Amino acid sequence: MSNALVVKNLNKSFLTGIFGKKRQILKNVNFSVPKGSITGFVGVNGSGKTTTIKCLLKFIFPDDIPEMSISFFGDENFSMKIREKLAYLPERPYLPEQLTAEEFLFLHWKLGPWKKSKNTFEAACKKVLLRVNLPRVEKNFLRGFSKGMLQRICLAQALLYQPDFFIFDEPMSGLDPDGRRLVKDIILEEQARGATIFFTSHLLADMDELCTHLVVIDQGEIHFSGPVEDFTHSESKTSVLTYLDAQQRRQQDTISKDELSAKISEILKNQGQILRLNPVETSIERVFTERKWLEEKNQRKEP
Amino acid sequence: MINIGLFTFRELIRQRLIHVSLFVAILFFAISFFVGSLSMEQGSRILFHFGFSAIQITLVGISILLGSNLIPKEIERQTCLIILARPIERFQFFVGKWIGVAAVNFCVCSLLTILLWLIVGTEYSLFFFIKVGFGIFFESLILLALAFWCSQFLRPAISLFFTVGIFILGHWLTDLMYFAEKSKSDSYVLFAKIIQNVVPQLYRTDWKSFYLLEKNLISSLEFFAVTLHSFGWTILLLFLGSLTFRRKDLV
Repeated sequence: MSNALVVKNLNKSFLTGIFGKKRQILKNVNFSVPKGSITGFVGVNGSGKTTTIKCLLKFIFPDDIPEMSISFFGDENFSMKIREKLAYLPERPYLPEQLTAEEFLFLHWKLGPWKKSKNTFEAACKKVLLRVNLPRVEKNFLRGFSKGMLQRICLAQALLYQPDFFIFDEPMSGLDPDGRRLVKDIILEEQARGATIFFTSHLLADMDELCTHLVVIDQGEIHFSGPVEDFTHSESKTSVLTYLDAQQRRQQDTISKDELSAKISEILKNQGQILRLNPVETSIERVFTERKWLEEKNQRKEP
Repeated sequence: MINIGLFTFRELIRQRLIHVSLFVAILFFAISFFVGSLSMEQGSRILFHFGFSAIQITLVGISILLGSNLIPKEIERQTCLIILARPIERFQFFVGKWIGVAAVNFCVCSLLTILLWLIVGTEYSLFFFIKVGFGIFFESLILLALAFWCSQFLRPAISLFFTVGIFILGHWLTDLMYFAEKSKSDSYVLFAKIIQNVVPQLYRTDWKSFYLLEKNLISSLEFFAVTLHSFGWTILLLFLGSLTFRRKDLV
């Protein structure tokens, strides 16, 4: 699978205080997002997720080091052609309150990579508003919209045309359960269409449901980048072994990969019987909250 | 760029600041009208001067307030990010925003100038009123571009005070030069000359003296020179603003 996004040696520092003390937020960030994947970007508050996204979209400028590169679809220049393929949903969408929903979407239609008539827009506008479950709000001013409605209208501008790469920063924050379901369905539909989705969320259960790939960041450093299975099974590769012992009693043990062959030999030697061998059920949430990935990384660092 | 300008214009004309500014200017017209009617012979002169002063204060107020706050507010609330994620350059966004406010100024200025002409008396030439109105509009364009640029590296409040300072200095340049020549100090004259060249000569856009109306003294050449001067400064300030905004971290 080729990559839609490759980030190499991304560093970002800010000057803080009166004397301009340098504070490094991102430290040698390296990761890739495969084309057609749904990649979750996970990290605790203040770990550098939004800063990374802002660097990707050139809202802020990375530290100028020669080895640094950010390439979308193989293009390192962030050209207009590439930007035509991107859609972005910010974390807290404050939108121009004095515009109506239709005017807001029309502005984005006009800024898009196509030159189509107003008639085509009206059809597209109705369709996209229906898709985000906001029917009959075209003429309503955005100042009257709730937080969830603003989130949906912002999602609508991202979906207005069919981009190849979506960058969503907390797309499900502020939404009710129906809204979250809707966003998840849209993400899955867009992936089925062939688009790549890169999104951040603190709702790890949603990530479990959606993501094919994962990037984990902590204190500005990438700790994991790869398929979700590799992340969830990185915790000591444990298995659940169900067997009958010598007295024909049913037993169940959770054991590590290293212990597995010795345990099976022991059961067979004692005239027992192996019934089932299953991997331990893991989830992104469980692995992430237990911080095993961080411990493993630290262990690897230590001699 | 035009699209950004158009939608900024739409957004701004619905803002209370513009409605209140218009209301205050019209209120000022009404007060001038009553004050003018108390005078036997100077009625139209008072109305003319007060009326155009009201238009000037309105336009300068809109330019300085919106110019100092519009882009910093967009950055702070991150409304500009979804626009800048689109295939547009940063300078297009910056200049587009300026176009939007300039268009609001143009509409406010046109509306108030025509209204003033109707109040003062249609026996005076509308063409002259339009010229005076354009002078005020040109001044607002310079101040708007200046406030836009300053707001890129100064806090909005400091940018606001700085622009007000340049506005006062720009109108005070003739006095500065006069006092420098009277002082007979070479260093003071040199200082005044430097200031004359690094600050927009806003006094040149000020044609609201009734004397000019009576004598019809705004020649086409003067009008052309002031237009050129104003656009020169505006383009320079917009260029500097775009350069600053191009490399600005939007945090």
